Amino acid sequence: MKIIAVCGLGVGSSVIAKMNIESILSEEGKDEVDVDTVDLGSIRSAPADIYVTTRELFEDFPEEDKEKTIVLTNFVDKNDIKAHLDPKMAELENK
Amino acid sequence: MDTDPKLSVDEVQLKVHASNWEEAIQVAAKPLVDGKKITNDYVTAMIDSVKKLGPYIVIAPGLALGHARPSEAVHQTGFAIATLAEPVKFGNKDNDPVDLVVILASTSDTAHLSLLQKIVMFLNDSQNLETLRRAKTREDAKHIAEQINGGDQ
Repeated sequence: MKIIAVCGLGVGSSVIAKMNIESILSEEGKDEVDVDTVDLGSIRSAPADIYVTTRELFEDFPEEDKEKTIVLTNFVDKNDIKAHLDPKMAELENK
Repeated sequence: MDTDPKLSVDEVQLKVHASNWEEAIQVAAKPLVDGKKITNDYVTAMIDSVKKLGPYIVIAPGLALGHARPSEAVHQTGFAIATLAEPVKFGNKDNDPVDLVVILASTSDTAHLSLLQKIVMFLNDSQNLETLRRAKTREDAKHIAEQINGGDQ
């Protein structure tokens, strides 16, 4: 499974999201999941099972990727990220 | 070459004044400009990035992460943190108003990662956020900088 955090530039917010997601996955024993970052402009060349982003950027997402996307309002609160991420991952695992 | 960037006490400013979001970024970034780690061009780039991409840099309630792409305007990788005496609005529906600004400046896509990891670990703990928001004195700033630099030790 591949998760990509998307931000405007690919160096700040998305990196923070990636660090927190990796930390959550590691706590869950899911180290095999690959987490990467990308800027919004490069999203089409970066296929993923799940995208993570903010509400502002979500509006500019390619339509076909919106369904795969988790919108976070808080990139720092791991409990909040986990509450969004876990159900989405479970949904994919059960497909 | 960057070697193990650290947060200095001067880069932690407490209860500073800004009347709008642009000023908040300028004020928070000032120690990095004064320390010659970044030029004013980088400050302009951070502001332009919000104008272009929207206020998505407000990544948690009350917390803005001012940053731009690595460029020649960054001489040395660095961070700065500022708490605002009066919160300002960035135009972010979910997380306004902002009372905490973190500035990130990196010479490359990777130079900032070790310090960013430490800052993220610090911000993960809601108690640290509370301590930071309540902090007032230079002594407080020193403790905060030391705690962040110390990482998980």
